[in-house]
Amino acid sequence: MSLPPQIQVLQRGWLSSNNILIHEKDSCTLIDSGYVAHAAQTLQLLAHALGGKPLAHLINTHCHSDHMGGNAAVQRAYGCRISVPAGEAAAIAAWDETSLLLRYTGQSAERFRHDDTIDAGDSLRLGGLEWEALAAPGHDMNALMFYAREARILISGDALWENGFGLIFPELLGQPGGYAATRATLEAISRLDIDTVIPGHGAPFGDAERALATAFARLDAYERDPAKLARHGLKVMLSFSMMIQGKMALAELPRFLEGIPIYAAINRRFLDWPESELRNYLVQDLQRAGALKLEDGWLIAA
Amino acid sequence: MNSLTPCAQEQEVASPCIDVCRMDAASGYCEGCRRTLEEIASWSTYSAAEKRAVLARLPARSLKL
Repeated sequence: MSLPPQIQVLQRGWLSSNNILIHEKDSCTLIDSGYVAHAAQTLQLLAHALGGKPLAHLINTHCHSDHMGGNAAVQRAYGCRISVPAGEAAAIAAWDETSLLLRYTGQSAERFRHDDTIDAGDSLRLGGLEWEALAAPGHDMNALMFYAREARILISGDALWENGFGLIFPELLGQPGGYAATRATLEAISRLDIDTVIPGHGAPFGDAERALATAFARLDAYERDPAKLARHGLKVMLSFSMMIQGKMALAELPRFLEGIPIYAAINRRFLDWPESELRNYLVQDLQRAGALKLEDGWLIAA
Repeated sequence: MNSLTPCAQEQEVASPCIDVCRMDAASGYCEGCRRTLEEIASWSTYSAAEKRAVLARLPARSLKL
């Protein structure tokens, strides 16, 4: 797997999405800006990568906190134009903390003003390549992915990772069509001629076929047993919360979970477990997965 | 693209990022993973061997908080 030199992937972690820089001769475009709490490091990485070149344009694949949290800071630093997927424009303009899954999940982002929008079907010329904006609904119903046909590169956002894809929030939130949309997006990807996938999280990878097989298998399993999606979703939510918190007294966990609407909503909709059982399940399973440590009554992000 | 390309091996070396993502100004290392800005920015371009070499250097690094 190799990328043309004008595409620079700043691989981040889970709390911050990858930041993808596409260089022109005299300026740069950034795709996705990471989580708000990491904005300082994002700016330092950008300064390092840009080497004095202006950053003219910032594009979001979708407007989840881990992809757009650095937008305001980047705009302040560089005065760049910000483009969001057309379907997100209203929520961004109003800064609707519920539909943006901020207040609802206990995640934060700094409010920013977008300059324009991108629709599925639009074409962008970046780094000497023609990129098609493709609809990528599922994890987020307004998400886009960007495909450079000539170079066979797909910037997939959270629609496809090397080992999975982003949580199917519509299903978790009781909104219709999440599974069908996720399936349609994976099918659309499988019809593309792809040498390299640049995912929203994790390293760029070459074997799109293998990633799609993994993704379809996961999707089939969730669709057959939605409780599985729910348990996975709750674990991902808590591990994100813990990445944000760093550490928390175990005794604080009940009140913490009560204060974040999505936990009770998913539990009630899919599992209906007593809260203490849910807490025990989450803590034990995340410890087993190595995402959490429990030391002297403290939960510590691992 | 076949399974013998470097790609398959490169993906085996996981990033040391633990989602702290804050640079310590004095040492020049990330407070979480202990990589330099250059190492973080260039990580996705490193070969498996180069990634392992970076990982091997990390335990000896201390912050100057």
